[in-house]
This record gives sequence, C-alpha cells and structure tokens, in this order.
Amino acid sequence: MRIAIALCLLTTAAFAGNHEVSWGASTRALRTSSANAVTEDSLGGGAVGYAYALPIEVLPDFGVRATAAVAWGGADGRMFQSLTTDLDTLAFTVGARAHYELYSHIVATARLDLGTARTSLAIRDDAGHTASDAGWSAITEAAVGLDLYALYRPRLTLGVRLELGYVATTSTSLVATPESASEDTLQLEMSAASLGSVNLSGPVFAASIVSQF
Amino acid sequence: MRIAILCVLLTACWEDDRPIVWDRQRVVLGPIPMKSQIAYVDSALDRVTLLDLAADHPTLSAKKIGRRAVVAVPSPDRHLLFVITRGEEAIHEGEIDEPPQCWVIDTVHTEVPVVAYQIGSPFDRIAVAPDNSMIVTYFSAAGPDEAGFFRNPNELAVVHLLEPPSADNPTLKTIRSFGSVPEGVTLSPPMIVPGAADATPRTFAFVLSSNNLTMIDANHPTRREVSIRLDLGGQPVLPREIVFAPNTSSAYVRSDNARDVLQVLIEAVPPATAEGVDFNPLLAELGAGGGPTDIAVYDDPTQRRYILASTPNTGEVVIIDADTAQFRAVPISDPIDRILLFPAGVDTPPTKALFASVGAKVPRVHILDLVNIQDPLTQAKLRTVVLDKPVRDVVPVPGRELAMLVHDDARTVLGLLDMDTESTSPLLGVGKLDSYDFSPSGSYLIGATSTVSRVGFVALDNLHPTDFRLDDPPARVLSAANAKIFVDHGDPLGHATIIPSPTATRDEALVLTGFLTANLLDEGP
Repeated sequence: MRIAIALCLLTTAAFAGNHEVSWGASTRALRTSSANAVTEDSLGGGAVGYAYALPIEVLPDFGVRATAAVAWGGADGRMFQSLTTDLDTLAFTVGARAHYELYSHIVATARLDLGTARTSLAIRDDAGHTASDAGWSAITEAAVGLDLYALYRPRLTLGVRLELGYVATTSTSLVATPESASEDTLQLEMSAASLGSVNLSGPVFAASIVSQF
Repeated sequence: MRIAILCVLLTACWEDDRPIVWDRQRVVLGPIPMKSQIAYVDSALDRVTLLDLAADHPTLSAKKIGRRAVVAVPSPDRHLLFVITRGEEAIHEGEIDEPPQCWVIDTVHTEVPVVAYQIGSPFDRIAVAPDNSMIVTYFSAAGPDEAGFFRNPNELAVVHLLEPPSADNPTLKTIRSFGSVPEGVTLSPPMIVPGAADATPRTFAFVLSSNNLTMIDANHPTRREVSIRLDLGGQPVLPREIVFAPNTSSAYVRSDNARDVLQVLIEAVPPATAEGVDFNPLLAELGAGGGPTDIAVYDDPTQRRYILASTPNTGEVVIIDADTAQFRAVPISDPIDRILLFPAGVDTPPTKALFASVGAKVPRVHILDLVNIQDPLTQAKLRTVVLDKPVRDVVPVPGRELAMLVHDDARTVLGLLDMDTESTSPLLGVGKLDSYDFSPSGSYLIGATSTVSRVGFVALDNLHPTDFRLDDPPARVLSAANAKIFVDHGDPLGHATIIPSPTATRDEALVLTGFLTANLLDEGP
C-alpha cells in the first residue's frame, strides 16, 4: 500500500502543476415553484475556486483534484406587477474534480461539490415597503465539462472551462421581516409571518478561466 | 447536425416558463373590520386572509376564493363577508375557465366551509339584507371592467343565503328600465304584506335609479318587479335614501329634486296567476313641502314611527307621523342637510335631533327636543349652538350622547358637542385626521394621520388626549369589537400594529408583518 501511494505521488499531474485556480461566471435555471414565484430570470453569478491535485492516478492522463470554491449569485424579478424581488446567494463548497486528457489542450472534467449556501430575499413595493430575510441551506453541485487550454505547458496552463451540471439545494425558510427604521430606536414586539420556503435547485451552466501551475 | 440537435435539446431543458399566476395583477381589498377579525382580500393569491384579534395573540387564517376578486362587503352584523370574484377566461397557459362567483365566508365560525354562488355576470356591487338572509348583486353605474361583449346594466342576481347554490339559486333577473340604470339597491328587513295569502315576512329589494324606484319581492325573485315612476317632468328625480318601517310594511324614500318624502306602503292585491305579484305599493307624499335633503326615522316610546326631514327650500324641518301622514314643521333658516338622532344606536327612543348644514359650511348647529314633539300643543324647543368655525362633517359617537364636529377639510380642527349640556369642546390635531374610529363603547376617539407615526386617543369622558408611538406611519386605524385597536400601515405585504386597548403601553402592543404574503413561496400555481 505504501509503495502504491509512493508511486502515485511520483506520477501525479504529469501535464501541469498541483495548484489550480479558476474564476468564472455561471447561470442557473431556477425551476422550482418557489423560485418561479420570486423571479422569471435565471440565477446569474460567479465563482472563485481553488483545487489541489490529489495523489491518485488510476489511468494514464487521469487525475483527481480536491476543490474549494466560493460562489455568488443574484436575480431580480417582479411579482404580481407591483412587487420587485431581489434574490442573492452566497455558497461555500468543497469537493473533488476528476479530469481526463482527451486530446492535447482538451481535458474532460467531472465535479461533485458539497457545501452550504446563504439565500437572501428582499421584496419591495413601489411605495418603499420592504420585507427581507436570509437563511442557510445545504447545497450539492455535480457538473461535467471541458477544459480548453490556450497555454498548455507542463508547469503552467491557462484555458477556459465550460461546465454543465445540476445544483440541488435544500429549501430555505424565510420570514417577511420589514426593514428596521433605526438601530437605536426602541421597537415594538414583532411577529413576522413566514414567507414559505425557497428552493433554488436547477441546472447550471458555467464558464470560467482556469489555470494550473 | 449532431451539435445542432444537442443545442436544441439543451435549450429545451433550460427553458422554464414561469407560471402566469405570478404575473397577475394584485389588488388587496381591506382592511375590512369584521366581528373580532380583520379581513383582507387578495385578488392575485385568490384568498381571504383573516386576522383574529379575539385571543391575546392574533391568529392568522386564510380562505381560498375564486380568481380576481373585485369587491368585498361585510354583512351588517359583520359575521359574514361577501366577495365577488370576476373569474377568468383561459386564454394563456396557466389560466383557467372560471365563472363569476359570489363567495360567502363565515368569519365567526371559521370551520364552516366557504360557499360559492355562481352569479352569472361579473357584478361589482352587493346589497345585503339586514337579517343576512339574502343578498343582491348588481352592476355599478360604471360597470366592473372592459371585459365581455355585452353587458346588461339592469341585470341583478338575487342570492338566498339560507339555501345552497343550485340552478335556481341565485336567480338572475333583469329589471325593467326606462332609460336609466341602477345606482343602488337597498334590501328591506323582513316585512309582511298585510292581507296577502302568504303571511310570511319577506325581504323587498328597492332598486334606485334615476326617475325610477323598482321593487322586487326578493323571496320570490321570479315574480315580476313593480316599477314606480318618480319623475315630475322637470329635473330628474334621483332616489338617494330609503328607511323602512317594517311594522307598518312601509318604506320612506328621500330623493334629490323631489317635492316630498315618498312613502311606499305595501298592500296585498290578488295575484293574476299563481306566481303573479301579490302586492302593490301605495304611494303617498308625506308633506315635507320641499325637496328633502336628509331624513331620519325613529320610533317614539309608544312605537309610533316618525320621520324627520329637512327641507331647505321651505326653510323648515318637518316631523311626519308615518302612520297618519300628519306633520309638524319647525322653521330653521339654515339649509340643513344632516340630521342625527341622540341617543344613537341604542334601543331607547331618541330624545334629541341635531341638525347641521354641512354643504353650506354654516358655523352653527341646531338641537331639537323630540319628546312630545308630535303634540301640536307642545312648543318646539329648538336651540342653536353657535360655533367658532363652520361645520364640514358631523359624526355621532356610538353609545354616547356626543357628536364629533369636523371644522375643516383636513380634519385638523375638531369639536365635541355634548348633547346633554349642549356645549362644545375643541380638539386640535397635529395633522390631517386621515383615519379615525371610536372604541365600541364610545369611550375613546382614536385617530391617525398618515404622516405621523402615532395613534391619538381622546377619552371622551374627560377629553383627555393621549397618544401611542408607532414604529411606522399608519394608513388606517380600526377599533375591533373587543376594543383592540388595529393599525394598518398600508403595506401590501401585510404590516399592522395591534394595541390591546387605548390605555395599553408599548410593551403590550404587537406588530404583525408579512401576513398578506404568508406562505407565499409555498403557493403553487
């Protein structure tokens, strides 16, 4: 076993460095009933990721990286022709990405991430009345894609990653809380009704710039 | 080719049309004060939200209704809420075919299912019988909306609330028109038709339209209506107000441009057929002698019914014995157009009448003793109370012998007239009194202005003013039957402050938010 691990360490990342950073944009089609209530738009956003090559090689030109990413997103909408909605998300994920070199400069990837996401929703009317809330949910994302490299050297790569996947989230319960007038003003006891739960699951398409070194 | 097919498939997977339900126009009707509840009707979420204030902590419930609510009216006792929904025509994906319906919601017994009556046409007005036994839905003069091909403004639907919906209930009826359209419908309390074979008390619908008064036996809506022509050949006569004397099976009609108060006495006639009309209105002009501008009706301690009418044309107020049509005129030089009786709203007969000239903005009011006023040998005791400012409005305080006088259009200068001592006390507000109410016992005047985050109280026993600081500006203030004060903040998401009593402190108050969008995200299309 120790010998096998030592062999793996020696042979990992034959075509690039152990570190990978990525920065890109994504769009998620919001398909649940609760998300449809909030907006007709897709959830647009971005992500910054870091990956580190794991010492695993079961096939030639195949590798696995541990990943960590911060992703954000937002969508605006209109409800009942009179209420505007503002949906924002912030997600922290960790996971693994497998990659396989199909051709020179072209790499196929597959990814599975787990994490947590903060969803905030604000609803406003034209008169300035606002209700907002935020909550946390679990998030799982799986995606497959292609890396297209313009620069493909043994110790430095630079290219574009195109991914198609699916994001599954648990529902986030939200409560309609109005904006407080002032921090230091004594407020009356408040009871806020539940807005219900919003679920932002849906297929996702992402494009990012990726570099390994 | 393969790539193109793949792109099409991917696009198809990505497409997700949002249900049209979320793009519907939303109108929130309310707050509507019910017995111990406050109701809101949501025309987009198709539901009635009820906030029950009976318990220490308010409870929230919702009743589903049909699509596109257009009007909501409470019953006189505020137990039932009637809502007309326009319905929908399925034109786009996500829309449904739904006819116009009238929904009856029991807000006291919330476990009772909501009942829907198919009313056939999208009426936008509701008249409710005083005993909650039936309603009449009809069109306003302007009509409900632009939808539809034809609209019959003289059509109405009689709904018997004690019977379930059926092919015969409601009854759609088109009343005879002489070129005018209904401007109002008033339902009578149950009255018997003296001498008729059917001695069951009935409800009569009086349809008010220009130059016409139409009577419908609402218990037998399939029978022909009876039309009464009011025109005198000059200016159109517009019936404005009806008061009833059920003990004598009569109604009294005040009309603009009319010569007198019209008495409509119902008497029996032999029906031409088994289902023919078995009543006839006997008409009498009650000798007011001039175009009445306001009327009031009361029963004296002997249960004799009297009508008070103000006739500025003759410079008088007239007290008419409804049974004998004998009348007594009391000269008043001011153009009186508002009559209030005191004590108001209680079972004891009124002893005083207050006369005001609201339209002419006269700075004085008049008080007439009603005790023995019918006795021609008794001198009429009419006293004038001179005020500092003109009167723009007069409102009786429920359960009290007090009248609130409003002295300016902005309602910043008020006065309280004590009908016992016939003295006035001025009240100054900090802003326009946009909304006000009285506590159920008449102990407090509760007021609010939309620019000040406070609710003001005036203890009507000693006129001591207090106020309650709110967190947000109020839009409307209501006093519930259990004396709790409900302050609506005009937020379409739902935002209200509930104050347990006029003497409560801020620690005892509660703010409710988001109740109009409760579980919004869980509402499927």
